[in-house]
Amino acid sequence: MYQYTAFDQRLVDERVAQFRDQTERHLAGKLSGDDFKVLRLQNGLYIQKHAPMLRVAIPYGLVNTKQVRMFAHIARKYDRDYAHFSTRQNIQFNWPELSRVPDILADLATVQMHAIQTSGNCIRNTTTDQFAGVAPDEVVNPLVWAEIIRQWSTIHPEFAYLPRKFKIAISGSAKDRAATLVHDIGLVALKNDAGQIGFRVIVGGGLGRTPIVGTAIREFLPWQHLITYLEAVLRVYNRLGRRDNKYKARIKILVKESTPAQFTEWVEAEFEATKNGASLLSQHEIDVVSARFTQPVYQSLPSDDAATVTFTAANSEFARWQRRNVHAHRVSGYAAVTLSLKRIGVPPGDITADELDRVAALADKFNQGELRVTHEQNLVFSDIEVSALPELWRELKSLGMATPNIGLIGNIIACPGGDFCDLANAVSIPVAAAIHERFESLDYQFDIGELDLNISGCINACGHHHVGHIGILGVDKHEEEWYQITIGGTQGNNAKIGKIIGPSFARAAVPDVVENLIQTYLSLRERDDERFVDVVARTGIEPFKERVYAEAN
Amino acid sequence: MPKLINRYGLVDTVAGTDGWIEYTGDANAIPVGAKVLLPLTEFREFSGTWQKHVGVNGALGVKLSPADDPALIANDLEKLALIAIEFPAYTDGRGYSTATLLRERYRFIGELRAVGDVQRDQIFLMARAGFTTFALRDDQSIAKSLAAFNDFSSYYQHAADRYVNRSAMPLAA
Repeated sequence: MYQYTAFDQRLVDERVAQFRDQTERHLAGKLSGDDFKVLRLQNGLYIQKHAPMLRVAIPYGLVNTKQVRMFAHIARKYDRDYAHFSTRQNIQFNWPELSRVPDILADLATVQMHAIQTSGNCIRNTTTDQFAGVAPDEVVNPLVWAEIIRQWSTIHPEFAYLPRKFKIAISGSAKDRAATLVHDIGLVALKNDAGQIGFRVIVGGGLGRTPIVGTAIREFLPWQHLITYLEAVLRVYNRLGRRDNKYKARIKILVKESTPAQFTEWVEAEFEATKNGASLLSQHEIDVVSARFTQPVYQSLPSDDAATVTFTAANSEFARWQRRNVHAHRVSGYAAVTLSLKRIGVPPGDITADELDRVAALADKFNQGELRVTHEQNLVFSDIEVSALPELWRELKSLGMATPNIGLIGNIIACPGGDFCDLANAVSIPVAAAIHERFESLDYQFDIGELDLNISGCINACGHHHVGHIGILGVDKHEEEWYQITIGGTQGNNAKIGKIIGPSFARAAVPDVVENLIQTYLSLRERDDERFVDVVARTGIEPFKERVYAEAN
Repeated sequence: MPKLINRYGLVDTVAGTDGWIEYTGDANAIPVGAKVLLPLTEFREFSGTWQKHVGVNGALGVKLSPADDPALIANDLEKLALIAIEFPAYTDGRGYSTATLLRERYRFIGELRAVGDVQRDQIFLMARAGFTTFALRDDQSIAKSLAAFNDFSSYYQHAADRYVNRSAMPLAA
């Protein structure tokens, strides 16, 4: 976990003072709604259907228990006793009052938290792998680099008013768990033959209205140039990105319309001029930032714990949880654990103030006082002793966060949708709930096997529906809620955009449609470990389409 | 009333232009020996003629629109006492890159002025991007605008203001 210095603290405090002044001027009628709009967005504040929504940054998803308890405090004092974890590793409060937002930000600043650049047309919170630093397949720990990008991008004078929002993701593992192919910039940290660290730079990916898988424009960028290269990309985008149409303003459109080859040429020309500029990184800077990260303390432990092995053999429920929610760790005798926030009757990613406190207590007891937020809207304890798994499991069970559904159909990703969001065409949460209930049986979920089901309430795709094995998109048809279904989308190293199976469906029909897709898959699969998405890749969408529309008629 | 400030205070309390006259197509409106602000195309085509017109007592400036490429004047910077960069709306951030390029890459050391939708809440960033004077939108408070230079006492990243020579800036009028 990165430890703030007095310098970081002062900057956040000054930001609170700045926003307090802006809010007061706005409330006094001295700053118009239009002029205030971008200022509040760059402080995470949306004006939504029922009330403002405040999005608080969780830099690269890492948070300590003091901060989690502060979330609980804010949910109780300023909101309705709950909060929501988003698909970008942030946390959102749905009911704050505008006039009290500066007070919320001041409370957050006491635990080194803020809402800087969590919205607006600027560089957003940089996201990463939820298993950063602990994954066995990790080549380079991305956390230090994510922090360096955080610092560089925070209140950057040149890039605060970009054509559109700008999202950077960074991964450092063989397996991409950070969705680097569908971000404005995706960075993959790697090592060359000489063992030196560098980055593959992927540009112009994204979901939304025009889903595109990004293009690698650099296979190995030496780490010293990380920031100078980002400057070059951002400058080309800031100057040449479209500003005439917000739907064509993301960098992916610039890359596509100019062609990746032309775009790369512009960037390389710009980089030629910036690469040895003031932002060139030195080993000293990396060392200073690295030294501010606390490191987990590991005991020397055997890889297996006899009592845990015995417990697993005797308890199939625990065994299932281990299979789905417990993940391998690079250190012997340790594991990472996902706390499932996908619970029947609770919107994906929602958590109450009391639950936040209980999770914090568990993290203090079992996980050295830290936890992580995943882009699938779950939480992760990254450093659990294998011998503690049975006890942790019992605790999580009593919290309702031990459902073994990670990677299964129960682990639905959904945006807040039309219940909260102004942009949405349709609701997401009730659709997620209906599907969740239909597939409540864990036996059935395990039989179906790995399946990502993602729901977005509109084309902005906050629910990442394009990369769901099954994607569900809310569309507006004559002011009624309809849902378009895609299949075959994939996240990770071979990210693919799902294909639309045909005309959209009324809300009530969606669980049946999903059921028919699943039944089609089960009848087509050749082996138990052939996943839904593998079958779609093998057979194409036709058999699925036929069955779904035959049943629908 | 237009107001022109730098970080030390008001530069021009009267016309808000500090004596600069903007050329908008009528050459007769520009007196001999004036300080004239030209659009990029006019400057590129007729800089010699204009230099003669303003003479040694006057001065030339260029006003850049957001889409204008500052590389086009990179070789003429010593002829220019002022470069004004237009912000048609405060949300159009191209001018920040233009300013950065002029300071950092082309090492322009003269006055860089933000004009258009220039508000108190963008001044801190504009100053960091290398702007030195600010033609405030009419409704902006001078006191609030001057306070904006101190919104933050420190920052994380390098920016183009490191190439600005503050000792060469005029103190308040």
